[in-house]
Amino acid sequence: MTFAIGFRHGLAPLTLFTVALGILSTDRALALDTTRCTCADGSSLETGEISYSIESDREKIIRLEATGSALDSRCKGIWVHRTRVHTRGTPYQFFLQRKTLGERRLSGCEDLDEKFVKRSKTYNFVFDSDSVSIREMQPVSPPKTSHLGTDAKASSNQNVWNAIIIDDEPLISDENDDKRSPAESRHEEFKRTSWVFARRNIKAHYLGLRRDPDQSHHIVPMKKSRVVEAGQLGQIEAAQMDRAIVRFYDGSRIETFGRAKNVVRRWYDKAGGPYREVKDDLYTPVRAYIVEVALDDIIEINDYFDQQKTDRTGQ
Amino acid sequence: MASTQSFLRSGRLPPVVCVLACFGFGPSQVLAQSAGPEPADAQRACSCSDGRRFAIGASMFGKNSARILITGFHSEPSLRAGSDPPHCSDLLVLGQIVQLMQAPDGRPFLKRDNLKRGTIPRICDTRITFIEPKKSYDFFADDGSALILTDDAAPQAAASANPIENKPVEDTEQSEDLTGQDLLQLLPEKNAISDLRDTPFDEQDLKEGAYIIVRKRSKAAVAESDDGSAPHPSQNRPHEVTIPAGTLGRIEKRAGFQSEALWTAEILPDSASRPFWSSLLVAAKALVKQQAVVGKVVLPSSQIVEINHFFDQYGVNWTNFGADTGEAASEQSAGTTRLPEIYSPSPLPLEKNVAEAQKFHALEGIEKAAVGLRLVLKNRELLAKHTMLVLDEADTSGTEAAPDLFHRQCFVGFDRLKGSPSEKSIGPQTLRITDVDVKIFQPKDSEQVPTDFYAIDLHLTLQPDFGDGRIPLVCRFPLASIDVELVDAATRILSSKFEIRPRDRGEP
Repeated sequence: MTFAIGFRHGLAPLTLFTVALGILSTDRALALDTTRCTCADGSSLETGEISYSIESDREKIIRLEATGSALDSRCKGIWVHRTRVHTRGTPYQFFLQRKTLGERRLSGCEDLDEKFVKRSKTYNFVFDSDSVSIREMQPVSPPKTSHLGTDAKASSNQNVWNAIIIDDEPLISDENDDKRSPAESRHEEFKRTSWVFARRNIKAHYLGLRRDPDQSHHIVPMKKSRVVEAGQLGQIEAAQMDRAIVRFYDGSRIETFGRAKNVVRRWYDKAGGPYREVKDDLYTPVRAYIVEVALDDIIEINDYFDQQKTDRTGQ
Repeated sequence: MASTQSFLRSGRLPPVVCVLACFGFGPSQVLAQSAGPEPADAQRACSCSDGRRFAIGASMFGKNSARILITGFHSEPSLRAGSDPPHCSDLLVLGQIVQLMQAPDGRPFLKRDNLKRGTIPRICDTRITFIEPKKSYDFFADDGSALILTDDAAPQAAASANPIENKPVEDTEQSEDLTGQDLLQLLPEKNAISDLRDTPFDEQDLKEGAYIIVRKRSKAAVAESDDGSAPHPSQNRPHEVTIPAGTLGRIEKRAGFQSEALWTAEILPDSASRPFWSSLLVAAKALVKQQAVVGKVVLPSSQIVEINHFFDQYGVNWTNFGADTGEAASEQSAGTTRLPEIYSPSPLPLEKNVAEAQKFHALEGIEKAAVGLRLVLKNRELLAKHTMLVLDEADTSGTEAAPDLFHRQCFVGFDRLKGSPSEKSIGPQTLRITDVDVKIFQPKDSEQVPTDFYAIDLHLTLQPDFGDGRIPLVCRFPLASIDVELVDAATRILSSKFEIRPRDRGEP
């Protein structure tokens, strides 16, 4: 319609203006804000998705620009809000403070270095949805192992070393094995060194490292336990699906005023005691202990900040 | 127990169970800890129809303390219904060798290496036998001078160690006078790896060529020379020498029997730590007359232990003076950074999981374990709601949970139940498992989970003894292995709302 008008005599300036307006409006359509968009590789992004890095530093998608229709919108611009968590104080007495590093715009999914995920892991369960029976799966072809042709009866203690078939290759070749995310990445917010906060008083067991004869390691709970008091801060050492090993710091709790040892500690610290405030020193064993807790008993520090609408813990 | 006391006295616990605190904390903080429960898998074993039994931890010994250790097994589900232990299929084994090494300061130590990890297929078709692991040795129980992996006497700057086997032996024709010679160089060591192929492995740990450690300080007779004569007085060698606890050696040959087996062993000089009092007198070393322990001595079996038992009991792969070298040092410096891979190793890839389930007929095993089980409702009011019941493993109280992708949960489809049991009926409401399937759940287009995420669904069909229709029950296990343990896990989760009863007698 615009071009039809443009060919009428004497209307050239108006035509140009209208065309320009059309281009502008088209461009604006390309950059429409949306809450969800799709990348070229088929993955999708949503506002509110989060990417975590060490020590609870976090990036959050706050705005998405997309092209195309509402049903099929391609990500064009991704606005990310970045925060960092700092420790303030000494191991005897410290708190956490979240600082905003600002916002940045990424021009498309190609610039995304991190994996952004939804925080919630709840879903709508439907019987028989997204599942397939292993009866219906094609039998996997037997692995290429040289032992299939050998005579097992010929193996005895005289030649047992030769009877061992080396597991140098996986049963099924999987090119993605190396790229496979470590187990802890299943809970993005509970990466190693992430800061966590004890929701309630927790009875937690100390842990031991057991070696088997083949020198493989296992972590075993010890008989000795202790109470992690509500509000204690700690850092994740390792996480499973539902549990985590956490290094808790006594110095993160506000102690009762007038406790003699606390007074002495403060004096000692101010008088130039052995500790200087260096962030890494929080990894020292000063008033710290490592125990195993359930993930339900702790909360990631950013979630705590968000819920409490604050950017610092206590003190 | 005595050994633990010894360690406590010397400020250390055996490293077999090292409290995590010792990664970053000093040893003193370890003292308050006590070891946790015994490993549950310690007794796991499978057997063959001819009576042979293969237990995890069992070993066979070869030349130079090389050994083959059982680390696991696959069983035959079709042959193991109700059998204990299950019928063996393949054995998972580890081949290890022991090498004599030299710390940078020249002191010897022994190091164990994992050389070959793999499978012995169809073990029951072979003629291979293993021996069960022995009861733990009470090392150094009698004299209290425990051998500990102390770093007090270890070289501080030791960064690497050399296998002594690699050093050329300069002169094979040796004189009997060993004064001034490096005895380590004189050991008839060869490449231990190359001749394992032709080495028979048996249950004898103490044998010719085996490395040993002396359990406690004791006197030992100096062995006769090869021609059978005792040491000549002119050689100025005593007839009896004192061997410190923790001294390393190597069995040369059998030396008869005197209420127990006797062994002629080559003692490795300076392989044990100095006693504490000796360390204090280092400055006055010249004043202390050191009684050199050299050459071959005769030791009874009760005084020595094959070195693999020492490694196993103390959870190490090296003896004294090796603790600061190579991988041992790097392991120490890694601290807690290794915890994630130990605590939460990468999950089994789905393709491998399914392939192993198919190979070992896991579905048949699961069917045998589950079909016929009866679930008796503890709360009769549950049925009246006609809603799906969600039970979470983490919540033992049985309160309803929200479906969570990372939780092990069971979903009972009470909403599918047609009709409801009569309110007047007073008998137990029982549901019988009639059908079993295993499914792979992979959420499509989910931004909540990594792309390689999957869950194993144990899909059960329940036939109620009341009402019509069948009730589906799915227990979902994120990233679990497909095996019969899924049934145990499911019954644990369900037990908060159901009483689990075995199948009726006479039922197939």
